[in-house]
Amino acid sequence: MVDPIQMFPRPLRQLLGPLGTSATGMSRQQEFMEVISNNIANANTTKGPDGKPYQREIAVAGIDPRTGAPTTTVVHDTSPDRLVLEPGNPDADANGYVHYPNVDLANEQVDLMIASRMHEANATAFEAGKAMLHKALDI
Amino acid sequence: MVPSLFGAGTLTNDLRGALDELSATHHTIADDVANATSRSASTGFAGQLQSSMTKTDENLTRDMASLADTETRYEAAAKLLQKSYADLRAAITGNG
Repeated sequence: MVDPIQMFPRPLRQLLGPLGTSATGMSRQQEFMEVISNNIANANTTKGPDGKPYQREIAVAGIDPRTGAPTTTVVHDTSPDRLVLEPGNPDADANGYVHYPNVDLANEQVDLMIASRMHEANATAFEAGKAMLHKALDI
Repeated sequence: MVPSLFGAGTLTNDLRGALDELSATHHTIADDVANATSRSASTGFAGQLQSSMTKTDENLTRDMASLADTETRYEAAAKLLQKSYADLRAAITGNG
């Protein structure tokens, strides 16, 4: 993802820089929310495309060392599956246990709230930058 | 004469400097807020993550307070600069 503000001339970049930073922060939180929503949607997926239970995903924010652009990488949580004794379930193993994804709905809800609040914080910083820009234009 | 109106040590020059400084402060805060969380998951290694979350929360509270402070200071500096330019204009044109 290339920051479009980086393409502007320097004086404009200085003026709009903080807005770009907050916008990047907002889109990052949105990506986090997408990954968390995906975890919630697949909390009971016992058979994925590979025939194995869904594995919880975690979005990790980073910076591309070459371009300096912000990146979001999705990694898998390798903690063990949730085992539930359901002998009648067609997905049960030889011992009668069904391997459910390692997704804890309560944790995902908390993470979703954090991402949502962080998005709001970025939006507030964006609004403040916009108000300051307006004041500067009024001089 | 002109440097004594706009040059170093004058009110307009000081206020312009204040605007630049506050703008830079705002950029730093926006950067801090944008990078406050580096991953979508808050759980995994209970103790370690809980302490890191508390730290993030503290930082965020401080950042949001600084943000409001910076915005207000910027508004005040911009208003004062606007007023000083209006005064200068009045002095130049003679129309108070």
